[in-house]
Amino acid sequence: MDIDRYIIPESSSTFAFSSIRIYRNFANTRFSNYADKEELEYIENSVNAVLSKDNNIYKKIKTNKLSKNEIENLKDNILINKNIKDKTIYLSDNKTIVVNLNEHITLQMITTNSKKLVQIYKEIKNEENKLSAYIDFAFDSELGFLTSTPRKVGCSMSILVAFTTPNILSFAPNLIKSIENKLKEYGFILKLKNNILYIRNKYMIGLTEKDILKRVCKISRYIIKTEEKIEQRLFTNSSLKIKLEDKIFRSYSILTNARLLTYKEAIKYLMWINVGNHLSILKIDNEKIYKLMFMVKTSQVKIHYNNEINNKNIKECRAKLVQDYLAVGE
Amino acid sequence: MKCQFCKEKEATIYIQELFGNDSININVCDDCASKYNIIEDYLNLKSSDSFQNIKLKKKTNRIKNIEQTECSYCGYHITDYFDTLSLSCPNCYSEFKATIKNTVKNIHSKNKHKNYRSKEYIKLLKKENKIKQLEIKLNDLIREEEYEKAASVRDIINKEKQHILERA
Repeated sequence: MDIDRYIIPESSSTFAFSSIRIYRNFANTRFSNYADKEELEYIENSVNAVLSKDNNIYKKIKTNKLSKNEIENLKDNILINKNIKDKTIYLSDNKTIVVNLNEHITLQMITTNSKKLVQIYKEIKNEENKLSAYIDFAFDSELGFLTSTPRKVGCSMSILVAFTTPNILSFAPNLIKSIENKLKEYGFILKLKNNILYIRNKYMIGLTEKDILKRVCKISRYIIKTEEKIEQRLFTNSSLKIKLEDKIFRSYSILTNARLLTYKEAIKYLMWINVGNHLSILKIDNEKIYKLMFMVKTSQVKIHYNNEINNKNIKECRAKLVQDYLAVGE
Repeated sequence: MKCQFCKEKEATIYIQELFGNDSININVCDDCASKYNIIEDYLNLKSSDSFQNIKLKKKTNRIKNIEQTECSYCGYHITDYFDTLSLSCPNCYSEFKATIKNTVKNIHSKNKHKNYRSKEYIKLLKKENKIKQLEIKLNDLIREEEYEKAASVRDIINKEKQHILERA
């Protein structure tokens, strides 16, 4: 198949994760923000009826039965920042279906492996096909799939890719602006948050889904190549290599000795350890680093300590968690 | 700041008139503004208008040229769309198509969807087309008095319709 050629090169130190989201709405029913109770119940019951035909591979979660911390944990795992109070969520492996978030149905899949982007696209399309066998989706021949806002009409497919780019951020921060301008040409938005670079497609109409996938792969290759180029230039230049090594060892020392750590700091130093691994300067298990990047989130730290901590000593607990985790297996 | 005219109530309207480097400032409450026709003098409006109505006038000018202002399915008004940039139901898209197409072009740089529907939907469309053709054939067979063939065609049509009903 043609899209099998679209791949993001394997890069353990730059590619963080990717998610594909598809938004669909029922035809002849008001969108979730304006629907009344009966309409919302009808949508929930219909989706439930369709998914229960699938030999119960989905686990149904009603968020009104969860505690505040459990909701935060769920939000971290499924990467949804919006308010998911009083919503129904179906989970299976790395597939998520949220009912009545902003759209009637939000399908999502996440991967941490850069080579699996096309695979998760095919899987999510399969799920969509299964749903469309029983549900009439709102569709217009000119505008495509219809959503609650004109920002998501067309394919109604959104792809998010996250990168850790410590070399660009530390040694060439001016490049961020030029990357952002380049992304605008392709219809992508760039966002920098907590030292992680996120790109997401803005254009959803006038392009096929394969076009969007192709562009994501092209842009990802460009960002990974830029990051690795800078890294190699620093590593091969004897006077600049010392700066790079200093960053890596300094990050390792802070992580293993700090008494207080914010989330932003933890991510920043873990990214440098990742670079250290990539250049064989350090020898720490890659999976440990990736797992730590997830465990340093506030809600995950609270779960690790059985919710016995409050926001006052979260930084202290985070620092201790990182030290304990890095010390295991040494 | 108190009203310059009555010196009792709080001023709600602030007007600054500029003449080169000089300026005149007027602070007036709603009652005095309507009593002395201040806004009418400065902005050439009717005496009952206030600054809130200026905003409404801009909106009404915007929707003057739009033929359809309310969705026939859900009653959503186009001014609500201008305020929130969100829509209430899928039918709103067909009611306010011209306006929304402009917005879509501004956001996505294009406003024509490249045709894609799911496999299941395409199968359904093919079935519906097949049923229509079979119904035409059925009518022809009845006219030609070939009732046995017409009966078998009728059975095929019923089977296909049942498939579609199961989907619903």
